[in-house]
Amino acid sequence: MYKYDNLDQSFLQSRSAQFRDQVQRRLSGALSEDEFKPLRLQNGLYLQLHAYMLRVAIPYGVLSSDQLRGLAGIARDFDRGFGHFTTRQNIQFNWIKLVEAPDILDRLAALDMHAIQTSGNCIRNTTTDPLAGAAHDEIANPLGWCEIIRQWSTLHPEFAFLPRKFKIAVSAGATDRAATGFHDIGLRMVKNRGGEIGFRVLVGGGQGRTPRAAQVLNAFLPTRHLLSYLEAILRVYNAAGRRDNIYKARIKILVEAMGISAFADAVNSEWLGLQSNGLDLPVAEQDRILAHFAPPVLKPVRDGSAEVLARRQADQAFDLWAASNIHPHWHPGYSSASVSLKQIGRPPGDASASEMIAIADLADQFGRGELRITYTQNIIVPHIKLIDLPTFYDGLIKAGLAGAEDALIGDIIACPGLDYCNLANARSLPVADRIFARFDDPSRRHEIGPLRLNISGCINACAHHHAADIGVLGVNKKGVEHFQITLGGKAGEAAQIGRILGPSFAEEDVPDAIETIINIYLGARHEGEIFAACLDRLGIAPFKEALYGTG
Amino acid sequence: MTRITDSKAVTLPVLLTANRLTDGVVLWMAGDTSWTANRNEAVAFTAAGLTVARDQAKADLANQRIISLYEITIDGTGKHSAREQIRAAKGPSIQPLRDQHNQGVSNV
Repeated sequence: MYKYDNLDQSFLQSRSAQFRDQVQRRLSGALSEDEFKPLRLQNGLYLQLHAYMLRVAIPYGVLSSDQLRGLAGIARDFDRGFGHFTTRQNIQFNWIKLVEAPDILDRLAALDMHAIQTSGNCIRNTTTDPLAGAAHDEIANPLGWCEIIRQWSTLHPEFAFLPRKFKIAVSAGATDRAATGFHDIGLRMVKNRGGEIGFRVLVGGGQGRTPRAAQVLNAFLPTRHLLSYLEAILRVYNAAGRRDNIYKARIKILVEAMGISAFADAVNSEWLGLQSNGLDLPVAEQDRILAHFAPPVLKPVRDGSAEVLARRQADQAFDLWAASNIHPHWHPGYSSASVSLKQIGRPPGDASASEMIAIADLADQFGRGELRITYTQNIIVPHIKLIDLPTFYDGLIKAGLAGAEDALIGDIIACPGLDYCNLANARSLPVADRIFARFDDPSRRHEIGPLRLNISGCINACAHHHAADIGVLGVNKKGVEHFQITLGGKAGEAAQIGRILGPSFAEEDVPDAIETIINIYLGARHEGEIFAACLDRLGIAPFKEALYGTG
Repeated sequence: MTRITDSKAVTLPVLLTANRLTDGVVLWMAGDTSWTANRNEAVAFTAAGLTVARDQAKADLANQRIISLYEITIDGTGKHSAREQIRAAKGPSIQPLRDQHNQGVSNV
């Protein structure tokens, strides 16, 4: 992990002191709400339905166990004992008081954490593969590059007031586990014919009311040019992005308006002038940062496969958990394990303070004290010895976190929705609970197989419903909450936007609709065919017919 | 605070609602134009009473007591949007997680 030095820590302390002064001036009236709002947003503080919400940055989803315990302490001392992990690998606290926010920033600073640029029209948290550095299929570890982007983008003087928010994602695995095709800039680490590692640069992806899959801007960018090239893209966007209409202000709109060729020409023209400007890191500095993410030295360990197999054969619950929640590691004797934050009665992605502490303890005992927050609102503990997996699982049982959901229908991604969010049209959390209850049988969930179901409470699509196999979108139909269903979204290599099936459903009818879709799939699938592949083969017609009888 | 008594209504009644600046708690204007977190104490203002209420609300905005002030028109149907129901309930419609406090101690 990147370790903050004195300069970093001093910066956080002064930023926290600055915010304390801003809050005091707001409370005294020296700052109006219009003057204060952009300042609090730059520190991740929103006003939501019931209280202020603080979004804390978890850079590229990586946390130490101490940091997770610290977040648990904040949940207890300043919130209502829980936090919500988001699709951007951050954490949100929903019950914050403005008067206590400076104390929270102080507490975060002591943890080498902050809430900077988690809101506002700036470059937000760079996200990545939650298995980064532990994955079996990586070309390189993307974490160091995420850190380089983080340092470049934090308080960037030119990009503090972009036309709109800006999101970057990086992936390096054979499978894109960072949804790079749906980000403003997606960076996929690739090798060219000469074996050199670089980035395939995608641009103009996004969710929201105009979802778009990103397009290839540069098929191969040498890694040494990353910062100058990003700078060029941002300069073109900053200059030409629309500022007259908040709904047309993202880079995806600009790329579409200009066309990818013209946009690329503009970027290259800008880039020509930047390459010799010293923006690209000197190799020594680049290597200094990347060294923080060198592969861990993993102790030799005997093969634990036999122990895992024996437990799987003896314990059906463990067998189901192992089938979904264990991820292969580059070291044959190790693995990474998902801790599912999805179950009946749990808002997807929420964890109580005691659960955070329990997970932190497990990471210390069985991992290397490191955790990853996933895009799917779960937590991964990397670098667990295979031989320890049964005991790790027992620890999850004790913590009440042994759900075997990863990437299955129960692994619902849901935004906080109208229960918390000022922007929402409908409540996503009760719908998630209804669907989970309908598919409550773990064996049935495994029988259905890999399936991504995402629920967004409004068109802002914070739960990425456009990118889901089954997407659910909350809409307001004459003052009543209704839910529209989409099919066929893909967040991976070939990003694809889901298609609307038909008219929306009342909340109580959504589980039936989902079950109808699942039954069509189960009845039509070929052996071993996952939902996404079956849908590709059949098209949406049979599902539409089953739901609406339209033929 | 002046007690407001409403006489003949010439416009649809209006509730005034806002958030408290210090902690974001949802507030409703009561009959004496003070702010209450209890939705049952909210009063729907009309006519002259509404003018006084609005003036008081503007003053409270200027005096850093409230933010995000807005009005809800009461149309007589008794229906409220899901948003307003949730705001009035002072919490989400689902049970949030409960922290088992005795299972661990933070290191901070």
